[in-house]
Amino acid sequence: MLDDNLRPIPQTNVDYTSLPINPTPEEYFLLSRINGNVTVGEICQISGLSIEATHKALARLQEAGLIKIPEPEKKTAAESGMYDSVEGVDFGQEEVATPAAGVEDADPASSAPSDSRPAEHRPPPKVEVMGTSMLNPAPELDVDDGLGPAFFEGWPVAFSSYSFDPDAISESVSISDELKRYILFIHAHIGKVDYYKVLGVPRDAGRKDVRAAYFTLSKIFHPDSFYGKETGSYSEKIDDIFQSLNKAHQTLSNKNKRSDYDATLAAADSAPSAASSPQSTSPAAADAAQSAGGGSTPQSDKKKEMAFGVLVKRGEKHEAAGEYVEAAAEYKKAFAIKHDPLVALRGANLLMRSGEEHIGDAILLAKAAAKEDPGNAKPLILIGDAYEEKGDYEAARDYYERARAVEPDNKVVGRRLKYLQTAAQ
Amino acid sequence: MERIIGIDLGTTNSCVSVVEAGAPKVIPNKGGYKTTPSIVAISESGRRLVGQMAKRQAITNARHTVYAAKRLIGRKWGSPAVLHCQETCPYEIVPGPHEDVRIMLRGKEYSLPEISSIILQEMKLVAEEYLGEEPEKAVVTVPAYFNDNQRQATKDAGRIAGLDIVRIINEPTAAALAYGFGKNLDATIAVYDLGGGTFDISVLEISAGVFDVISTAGDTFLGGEDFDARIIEHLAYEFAREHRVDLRKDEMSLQRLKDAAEKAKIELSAMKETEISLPFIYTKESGEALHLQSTLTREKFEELVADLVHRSVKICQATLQEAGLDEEDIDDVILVGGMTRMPKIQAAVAEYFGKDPSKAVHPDEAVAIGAAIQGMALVDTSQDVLLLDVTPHSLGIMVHGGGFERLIEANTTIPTSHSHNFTTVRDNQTSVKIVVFQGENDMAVENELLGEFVLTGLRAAPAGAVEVQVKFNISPDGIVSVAAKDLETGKEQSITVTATSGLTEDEIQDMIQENQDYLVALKEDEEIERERAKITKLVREVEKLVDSLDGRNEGDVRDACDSAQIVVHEARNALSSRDFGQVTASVSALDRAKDLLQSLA
Repeated sequence: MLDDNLRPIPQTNVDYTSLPINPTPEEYFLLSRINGNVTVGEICQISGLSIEATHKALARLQEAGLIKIPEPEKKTAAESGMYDSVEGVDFGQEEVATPAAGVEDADPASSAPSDSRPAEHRPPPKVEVMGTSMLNPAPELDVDDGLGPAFFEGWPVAFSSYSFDPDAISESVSISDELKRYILFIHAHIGKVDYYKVLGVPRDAGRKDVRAAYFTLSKIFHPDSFYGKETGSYSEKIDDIFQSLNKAHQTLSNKNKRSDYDATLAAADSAPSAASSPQSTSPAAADAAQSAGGGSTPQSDKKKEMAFGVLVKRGEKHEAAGEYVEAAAEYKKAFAIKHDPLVALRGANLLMRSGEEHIGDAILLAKAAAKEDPGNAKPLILIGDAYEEKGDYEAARDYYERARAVEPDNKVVGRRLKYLQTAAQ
Repeated sequence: MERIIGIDLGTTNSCVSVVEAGAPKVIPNKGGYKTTPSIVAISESGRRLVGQMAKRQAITNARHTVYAAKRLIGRKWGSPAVLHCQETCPYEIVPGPHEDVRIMLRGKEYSLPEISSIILQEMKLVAEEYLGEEPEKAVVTVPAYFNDNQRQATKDAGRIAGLDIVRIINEPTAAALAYGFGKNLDATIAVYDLGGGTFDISVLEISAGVFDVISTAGDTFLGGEDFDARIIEHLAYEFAREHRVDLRKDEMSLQRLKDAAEKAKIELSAMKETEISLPFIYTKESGEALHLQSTLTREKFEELVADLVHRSVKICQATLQEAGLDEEDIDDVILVGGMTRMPKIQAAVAEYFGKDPSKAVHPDEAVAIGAAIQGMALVDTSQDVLLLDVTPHSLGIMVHGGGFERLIEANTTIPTSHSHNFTTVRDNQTSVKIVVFQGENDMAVENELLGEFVLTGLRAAPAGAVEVQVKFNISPDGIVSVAAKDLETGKEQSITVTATSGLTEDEIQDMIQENQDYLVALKEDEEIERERAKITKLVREVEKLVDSLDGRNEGDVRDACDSAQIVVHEARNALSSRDFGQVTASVSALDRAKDLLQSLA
């Protein structure tokens, strides 16, 4: 068994063509979550796999030379890196660039994992897209050009803390896993960010910058870039993304349209609903939340509790405003800090009500809740409902059966199972 | 890697190109020409003639020779474009089964996609002879201002020809690709494309291998043919003043006038004046022969077409305005299409844009080259080329009172889509009809009708309870499609398309079959022709041998001669037969007779 508090470190300069073993899609998926900051425990939370399977996958990744799981005594050194941020909590500066993933263009010596380096000597915290350079076994597109580290700054969810639907990642299409993640992530969130973020340009960007960004992204997401390739369920997402790019470009490249749009943005910014924006969060709370991931000292436990409270409160605010997806995101972050199954279940419930594209997320969150609280049938029922919604009746039945095992007298479960049985006939 | 050829299917001339080892190349036809006339004719014996061959016999076969078919493709019966052609074209234009247009040739009706398919097939053949293998896929260009019906009809033409048109791109955009490919440009350019039948203007931004069309406009009834027509009118008018005879009323005279007008127009691009001499152009009832002898100066010609030139500049103005650009913002102007060789047009373009137009691309070949580059860019991901084109017309639906509600604005980057929700207005309403148009007029009927879509099988519910989401989609080809789903049940809703001028699937299948049958018959004909030539040759040889044995009296020689004569007689009958077996049998019988006679000689 691996210690839950260990933080696996991704290895750079790995030759993907000659790995000693071939990792499975699930393992590659896990690899994308590993940034030197997340702990084994957290990885188990987000993997969607059982703890045992996750540990096994991590071991295989280490065997493949893709990650390094530090020895327990190195823990403190690794922890010092964690003081700057908490996985998945976005307070404007989302992720700390880990040495391993952040400075790959520097000379090899300094790009080697140097987790013992004191935190204050690090480059200023920046958003870092994890796995950008790691997960491209067969690069077909130079994605890095358009989706550099700063791209997802200010998006509602950090790219690195987004739970990807393992089914989508493992779908057999001719798109690299890296690009799949970009497509899934961007598609899930592009409707919630403003046009500037869609194109990844600052608000004061000139017409030329807007055009350059649009061109770069179009090269990645124009349907022609996938001509003749098997794209499966991604095809529609790619179309949607390209259209969003078009809309953003059309607005921002036209003087009149842009000034109108800027006015709308300004109005939205000053509205009370902006309470959730990073700026309006009280510095103390932010500090508390930011440093909460520090470890298990009594002081950090207290901070952790505070951060948890802040996040849950934020979630409740969103929930009250009817912004279920945003609320769920906060609950998910809170769960990452303290594994409270109720908070996960609450998030999963909201996601279930937020439309088809969030069902996958809901399942993941509910599975995490079920893992924490195996004696509770509710998460299992929710997972069953979700699979039913997705049309995967077999999986749905499976989870309802498990719920029945926990709570044999639950009437809802009985009804659902009966329904599925008749539907199957 | 699979190879995709590029075809410029022009109004007057067509051109085919392919990219080889990163370099685009225009493929010359059998005659050595890089362009092939877009002319199709049916000969008296029912043979299809294409290109130069068809052009050469046009004077004597005007009624069964189709030129400028592109002006009619995708048009509706009774539209101004069709009326115009009915007045000016020597071939017979008849209404088709669904408000479309057919051309009657040698007693058989041909749809426009069929005519175009014959040209496409010829271009495919040109490419095949050069490549040594049959090209299966092609990028074909159309005028930027073509609407959905015209694009769809062009795609149908590809299917009938057995050519998979993987993409339809706009001609000016293709020219821009030819201009900017491999140059690493960062510029804003305008493409002024005045071809045989259509005028297009497109404004593009080119940067980092991306060709982004900002705005496009055009006139599908402004082209070289209209310039020719002005010369024809002028000549006919002068002739009528002198002889009181309208030459345009006589098929043969008109065809000769057409040829002369085109020639004069071309000559006036290089010379200040040209002689037009058409002896024996008309014979009066009295038997007196009339001759046309005239001199046309460049000045006079420019006067005749001044309004046409002006019309094109007006469209340029509107396009720049639409793009939000000034003339100074344009870094370079590219001229495409044969008509841009006319000095007056070059001068007008230079004057309007305030700079001399670029001569970097070949006006006749750039479009085909651009099509080939796009074909390559689709399959070769190592090539850093991306085309961002726009839809030239607004797409919308007819709303209450006959108004036109725009769903997708003109100059929107494609592919694009728009979803629109429709609700039922009556209790238990089971169907909804949606009428789709393309155009800029606020009254729906003034625009081009694309089709009527009927949503059927809606569930019975109170009025307003059924909400159907209809998704209008414009593909990268600029072709419109519609899909619908019930918002509550998420069920895909079936859509029936009615009232389109396009061919039905059954018709297309029939035409594909017919085309294949024709090709098979053509091949058989050629084989029979070869066998017949053999018969003629053998008959001559056998007769010669019989003659040489004439004096000999031996019984076996006499028998041999007699039987040889019977074989020859049968062979003569076989010459007029279409039965391949009879013809080949005759060839072998002659062979045997010849061998026998030779052994006796």
